[in-house]
Amino acid sequence: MVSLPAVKRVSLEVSKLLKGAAIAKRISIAGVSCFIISKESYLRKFFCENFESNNWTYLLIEIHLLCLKSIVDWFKEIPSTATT
Amino acid sequence: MSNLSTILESPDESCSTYPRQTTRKEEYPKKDIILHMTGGGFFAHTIAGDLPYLIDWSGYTNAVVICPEYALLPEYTYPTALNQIADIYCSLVGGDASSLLGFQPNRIIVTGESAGGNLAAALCVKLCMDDIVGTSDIKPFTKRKYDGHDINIRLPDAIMLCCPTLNLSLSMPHSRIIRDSDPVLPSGLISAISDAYLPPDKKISKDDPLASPYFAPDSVLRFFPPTLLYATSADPLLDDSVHFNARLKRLGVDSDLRAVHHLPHAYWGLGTAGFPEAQVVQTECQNWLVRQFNIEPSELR
Repeated sequence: MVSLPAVKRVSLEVSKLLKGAAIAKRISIAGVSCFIISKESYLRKFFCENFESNNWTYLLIEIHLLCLKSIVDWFKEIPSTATT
Repeated sequence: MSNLSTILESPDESCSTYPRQTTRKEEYPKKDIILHMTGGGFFAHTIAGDLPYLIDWSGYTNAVVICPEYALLPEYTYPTALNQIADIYCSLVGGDASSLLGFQPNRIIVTGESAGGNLAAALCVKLCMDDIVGTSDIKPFTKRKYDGHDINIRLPDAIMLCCPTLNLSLSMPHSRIIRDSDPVLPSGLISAISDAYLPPDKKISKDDPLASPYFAPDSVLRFFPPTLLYATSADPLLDDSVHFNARLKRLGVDSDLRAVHHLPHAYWGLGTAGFPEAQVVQTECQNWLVRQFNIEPSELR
């Protein structure tokens, strides 16, 4: 549950709002997704200019798809659980 | 590239001096970095609980926190996650990531909690054992080949670990026997994680120093950077931290162990939840990071 992308993403957004991080983003370093967290103000300019900005629509779509996937996975689990 | 979001949709006047389109990594400003590995027993990332204090660390030290989403069980067993962490670290130190991040690394402190502590310690062991850093001398920078490129690699400037899983062998030191009912890490879970991370059919020894840094030889541990270990009296892994710290100190490493009462395994995030003992620890962590980054008191926010 805690590793669900939507949970991480919500945590990121909430933390940014509550804690006031200047930047809190996910980028890929050496092919691995990384959270970048900083309160340094000039860095956010760099990120704003070099990465396409996004909005909450993506987040809502992501949560929606994950919920659907979780429900499907849950139903798939039922027969195997019943036999054990 | 992951999809990115931003809370700043409008241009920021205070950022107008940033050198846009810099092409040479030497032109980027230098920034201190905290490379943090979350816990979660190699099965999950506890980033949601870690974010509040990571933001505090960044705010207090002015450092940039980088928190990798390393590969998880059950799909990825040892050593995938460790290799990923090493790749990220070498990319940071070698400067490959500078154009991506907008800065070049100054001092780097590696932190980790629980399984993340295993990866943080194992990273140092790996850098030495793979001879990515020159352990024949103690120069801070050494030119080496890594992944086909000549890069300057150095060990982290310090490491700070909380309840690290240093020993994945199924030995039963005293603390694992008498503290087998930790609410976060019961003893049965330790063996389950160990068997999942190091599947018996792969025939990887649980004493391998890259899987269990507790078993790293003295010839490696003596190169460890300043180390701070946090533990709790209720942690089944307490004895591993105690012995590891004792070895580091005996080898002349600037190492320290601090233990608290009344907290379960992996408690760094509990400060945010209002646990006073964890809040005290967070203050200590921030002060220790400041010392290791050599930040002048006048520079503190």
